[in-house]
Amino acid sequence: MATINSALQIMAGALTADQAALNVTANNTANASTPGYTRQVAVFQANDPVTISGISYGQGVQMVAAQSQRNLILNANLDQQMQQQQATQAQSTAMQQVQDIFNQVTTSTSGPSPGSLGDLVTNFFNAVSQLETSPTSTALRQGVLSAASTLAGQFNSSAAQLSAQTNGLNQQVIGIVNQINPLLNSIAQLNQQISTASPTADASQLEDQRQYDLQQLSQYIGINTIKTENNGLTITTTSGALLVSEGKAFDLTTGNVSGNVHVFATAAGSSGDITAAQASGGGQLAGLLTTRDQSIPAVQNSIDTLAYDVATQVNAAQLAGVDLNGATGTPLFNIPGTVAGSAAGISVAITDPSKIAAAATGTGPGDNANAVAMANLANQSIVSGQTATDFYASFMSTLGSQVSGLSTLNTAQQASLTQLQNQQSALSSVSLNEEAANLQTYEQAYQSAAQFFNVLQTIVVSALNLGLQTAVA
Amino acid sequence: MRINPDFVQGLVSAVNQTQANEQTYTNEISTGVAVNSLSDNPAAASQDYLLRTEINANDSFVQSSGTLSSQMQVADTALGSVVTQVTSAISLATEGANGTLNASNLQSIANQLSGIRDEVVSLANSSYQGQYLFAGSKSQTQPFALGAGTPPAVVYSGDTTLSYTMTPNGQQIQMNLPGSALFGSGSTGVIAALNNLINDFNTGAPSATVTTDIASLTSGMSTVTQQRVILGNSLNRLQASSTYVQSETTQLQAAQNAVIQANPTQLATLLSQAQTQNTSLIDMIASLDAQPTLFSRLN
Repeated sequence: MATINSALQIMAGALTADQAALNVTANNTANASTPGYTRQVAVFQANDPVTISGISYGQGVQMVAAQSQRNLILNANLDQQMQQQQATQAQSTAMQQVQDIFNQVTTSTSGPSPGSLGDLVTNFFNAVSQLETSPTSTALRQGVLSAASTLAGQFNSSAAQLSAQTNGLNQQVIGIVNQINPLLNSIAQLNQQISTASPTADASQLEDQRQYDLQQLSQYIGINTIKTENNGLTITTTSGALLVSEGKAFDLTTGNVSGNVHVFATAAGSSGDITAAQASGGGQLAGLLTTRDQSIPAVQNSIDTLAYDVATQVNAAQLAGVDLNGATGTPLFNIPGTVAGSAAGISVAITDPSKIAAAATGTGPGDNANAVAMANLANQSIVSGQTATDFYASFMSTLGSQVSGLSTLNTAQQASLTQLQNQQSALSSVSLNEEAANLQTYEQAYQSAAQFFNVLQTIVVSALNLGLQTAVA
Repeated sequence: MRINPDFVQGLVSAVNQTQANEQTYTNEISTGVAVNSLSDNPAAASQDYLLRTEINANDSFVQSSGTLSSQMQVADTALGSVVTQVTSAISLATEGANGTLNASNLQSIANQLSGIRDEVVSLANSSYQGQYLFAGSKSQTQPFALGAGTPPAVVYSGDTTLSYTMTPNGQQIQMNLPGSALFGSGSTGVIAALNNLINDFNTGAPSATVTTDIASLTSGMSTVTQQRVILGNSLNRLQASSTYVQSETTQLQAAQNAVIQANPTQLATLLSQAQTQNTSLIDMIASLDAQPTLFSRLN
């Protein structure tokens, strides 16, 4: 038989449950702006009923859990997308800086030529072609020499700027590794705390922190995660090098390999240079490494090829003619023996304008046949099967397309990342309106339960006084 | 479905985007150029480079063809004077050959012819900006001198190298005329013929070779005239090329404008749209701030 006492107990349980739920709401409201916080929902559960004389009596309620509202698959997707987007963004930013070196575009059709490498190659050949008209003119010969030296200077400065970019990227790689290591240690520590505190169930705020660290880590490096027993998390790089195993973090280290900063994994069994593998791994590290080890060398090779081929051909033309004094021409440019390093190494070899071999062998100083031949190099396919102008034009459009492609890809990936972030926020973020509604609900439930005690008291008093209202108050 | 309670963050990034757009449009309007970096329009940027390369080559040709045509005009004027001088030499010689003049008259003709010869030699040694015009490739050496002997031999120190210049369209134009082809050397050509005539009249008596020598002077003069035609043709072709290249440059500049120039009307519309969007977003965010949550209504 149901008793007034059991009703009192049910209401006492309800008060406890409502208090706990109010606690959850308070905690949600307090953490509304905490990064990485996942909102919790108070889970009420009716107590098992008791059956007396064939009648089933409910036994009230208890709050069984404050359940964090997270979706592990969505979180994993978000991390993956973050890794891809950050890789593209880092590469896009770095390549935009590379593009700035070659960004000389016409600013007005009536203004001066913007002086890109390609323009300076043209200017050099134009100076030679002016020499055709008056091959003995010292002023025109000087014009050729100064055009040559401006060209060589621009090659040098472009190569120096590219190598400064590479150095900057090396510093950034070190900076990123310095960001990664504390995160690895933090995750390892959280693994340990979680395995002690909540080996079988969701570890609420500890798990929030771990997820937040993972998201940060995903900005920097491409990773794979594996859930292990006791709610632990094993993290490897996308190429399989172990970074965190349960309570242990394996810090990444950096070292110099032929002038560039390389990244090394340290866990036994998967230690070693992970630089090449991580270039396609994701995270900012991948973007930086791809730019440094693939995109910049390709750009470098293009300008090296331009410098080497133009200088080699001009030098050959010089040797085929005679100078103002009738002597066989000597090379106009100093150029390294191989394409690599040509842009950085090119310089003008002669300082005496009379040494320009404008005349054909066997003719007098007034002949211009060799100058004509040299100027004609401008229209010949002397650089990788193209004219110098066409080569530079296609270099420009390749570089521009690459940068614009990266920027478009970044926008698309960013949009997709935003979508995922929205989905995650929709699920996990605290809504103050919702919490206010919950507060209202739990407050009313608490007030009702409290009021219930009053009523029950009146009933008990009535029972004790057998209908006399005044005996016991 | 639950909505994202933090959607204001998304609005803030939209504000950033509209501001970036405004910056791009303002930049394009202020420079007047739609391509401000390679990635803005890679095809246009490289097209622009190719066009300006061609324009630069054209400008360079126009500039050097100016100098070259002055040089060729000087050569042409010199040859014109040679023709005038030689024509008067022929009349003098013809006058001397008619058998009516006495010894002193003949001597005077010889003297006048000698003056003409010196003038022709000096014209054959014409220079422009320190370079001998009729010396082939040996433009720093005086090409003509008179040697020993009677009549003196013509000593040509130049060579027969022809120089050509190349127009941007690949046309080859002959720039010079070697002195030997114009004025001969040794005992041929106008100078040698003049020397022979001077020798003929110097004797003070009619000479048997006068007629032959007049004939060779006439033939020498026609050589000069023929060669001068080559020079005149070259000059015309050079000037025509220069004019053509200049008009081509105008067209190239128009093409370049079409490739890189910003469209102000379109940009103004885009800018105004971006501004409106930006303002409404900011207003919206501000009004969200003023919007109460349910908490503010709870008692």
